Amino acid sequence: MEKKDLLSNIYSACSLGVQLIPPTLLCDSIGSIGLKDPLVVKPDTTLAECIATLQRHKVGSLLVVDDDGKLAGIFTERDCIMKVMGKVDSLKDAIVSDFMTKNPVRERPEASIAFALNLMSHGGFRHVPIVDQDDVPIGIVSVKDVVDHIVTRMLEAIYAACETD
Amino acid sequence: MKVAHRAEKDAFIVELSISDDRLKLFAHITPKADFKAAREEDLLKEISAITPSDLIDRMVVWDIITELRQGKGCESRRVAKGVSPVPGKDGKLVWLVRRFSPGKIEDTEREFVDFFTLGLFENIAKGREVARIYKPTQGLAGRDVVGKLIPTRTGRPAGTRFDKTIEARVDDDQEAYTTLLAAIDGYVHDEGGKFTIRDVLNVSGNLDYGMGHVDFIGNVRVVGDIQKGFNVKARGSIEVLGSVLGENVLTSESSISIKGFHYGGPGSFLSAKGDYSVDTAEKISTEVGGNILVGREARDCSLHSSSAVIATRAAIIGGSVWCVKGFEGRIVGNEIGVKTDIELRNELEVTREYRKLSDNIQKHRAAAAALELHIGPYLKNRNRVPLLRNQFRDKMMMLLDKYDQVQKALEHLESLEKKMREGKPLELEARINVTEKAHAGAVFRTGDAMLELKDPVQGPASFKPTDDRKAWSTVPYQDLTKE
Repeated sequence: MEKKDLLSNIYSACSLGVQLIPPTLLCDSIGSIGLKDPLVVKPDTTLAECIATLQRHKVGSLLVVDDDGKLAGIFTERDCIMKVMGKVDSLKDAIVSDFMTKNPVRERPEASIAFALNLMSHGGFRHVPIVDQDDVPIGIVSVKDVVDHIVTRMLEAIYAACETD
Repeated sequence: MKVAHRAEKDAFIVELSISDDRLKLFAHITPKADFKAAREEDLLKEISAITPSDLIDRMVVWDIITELRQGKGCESRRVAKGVSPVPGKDGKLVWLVRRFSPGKIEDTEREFVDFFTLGLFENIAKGREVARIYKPTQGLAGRDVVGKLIPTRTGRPAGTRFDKTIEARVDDDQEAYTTLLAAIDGYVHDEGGKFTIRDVLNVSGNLDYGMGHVDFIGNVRVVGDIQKGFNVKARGSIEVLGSVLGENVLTSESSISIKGFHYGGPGSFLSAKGDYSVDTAEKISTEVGGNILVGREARDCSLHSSSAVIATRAAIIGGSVWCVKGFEGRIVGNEIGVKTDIELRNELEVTREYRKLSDNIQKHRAAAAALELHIGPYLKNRNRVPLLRNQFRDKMMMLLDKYDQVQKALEHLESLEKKMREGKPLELEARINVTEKAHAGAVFRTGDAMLELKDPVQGPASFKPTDDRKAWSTVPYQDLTKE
């Protein structure tokens, strides 16, 4: 759907009183967003490799796991800007464990979207790692993922309203 | 430790021992008189006799020889190291959604419990990912110091059992996990370790603080009562085997059935796309797409149906009934003559747009009446308005302008209403049937026609409006339920 059509549909849905965002949306679990497999690296990975991985996969964060595969830290593009740029002489010699955010706030996939958004808002994070019962990362949720999910559900509501009204 | 090898050379005596876990080889070196002639090759040769050369720690061997040449022996220096086995990881099941946990009331997210919104389950739409089964890993075999393989434990698969309502999707054999998808709409239920998606939410007792409001994607069945203030929304049907105790909002995209008593009261509402059946109802307000079936009695209810209202064995006392295909009741009204409205409407008149339009007309009429009160005699004597003092005159002009606007809008809305009324004829066989008695106070309406009973009418009797909906006539009784 083109942006113009989308907007006109949204306006007409609003005028019809169609509920664009289902009230239970924020109560859905984070797992319903469709978790993507996280990119994980070991703590002794060099910054050069980490940045190359971020560039190659066009993502904004990497999860750092220990030998048991458990979450040890997160390295994001923000860490890259705040801690690395202009401060590290050789990216090949520096390792990620010295620059990552250690023990980041993590969530289980059954947690609600509302809770994740609240975490992001209060904590100022843009990424929340999702871990299983053994603290092993199974995904990562970014603000963009949540926004995309809300827009998808909104479009579904519009299409459903167009079918019935 | 166990001695595995002993040798005597010109410069030293070597004794090699293997640790109990067979992963380390220790050397015990005793220098001889000719210790200065000690050679690294000699020691390496003896060690290589029992251990593969890649496991030998050459730096240690070199150090031993260096010290030996100075006349120093050594006690238990580790000269070789095996490779520990890495056990395989067990497979595991990771849930991506909340499973139904009846009676489990905890809320770590909000740090308080709202008993109305417990969220004990999550609606799962067909095709949605519900869980992942991570595959077990093989593990890596180790090697002891003599080069023999040490077997490792392979991870055990996750013992997950699920029925056909959950489908496994294997996109890629190399993937670390298998995704489980919902094959039907419903919620995930744990039946003693076997997982299933249930499309019927069965509330075994009362729907109360133990369950909270229900908003479910499938059918809902409540074995007990729905307590006061609890709402149920279901995409499928709602079945209540007990009673509904008031101030509830019940919404279904299918049918609603209440076996017991349904009390509405303030703030209550019932909406169903299919049929609604109830044994006894009081002060309920409904908007039903299918038939409304009353078992024993409906008192002071607004029963609005886009089909028929059937109360063949029931009494309808007070309130109003709107129906399209007809009404059939045993008793209408009561001995004291309570006003009971039964109205036949066409298909358009029961739509939401028509109701909105009717409400709008009512609001305009009320506004016009209020303006008439304000304006008073100047409404009919507009020519006297210029005689008023400036300030009062302007105000009166403004009020008259507003009144004209309201009247114009009202005329427009009334013409729309008329168009909608005339847009669809009444159902051919639509009529009002009374099988036992219609008391005085019963009012039958359709379009502009109104029949208010001044005296009781004994049944069976049928009342049918004329085609132009301007008058009512009595016709021979014909059972509505047989059609």
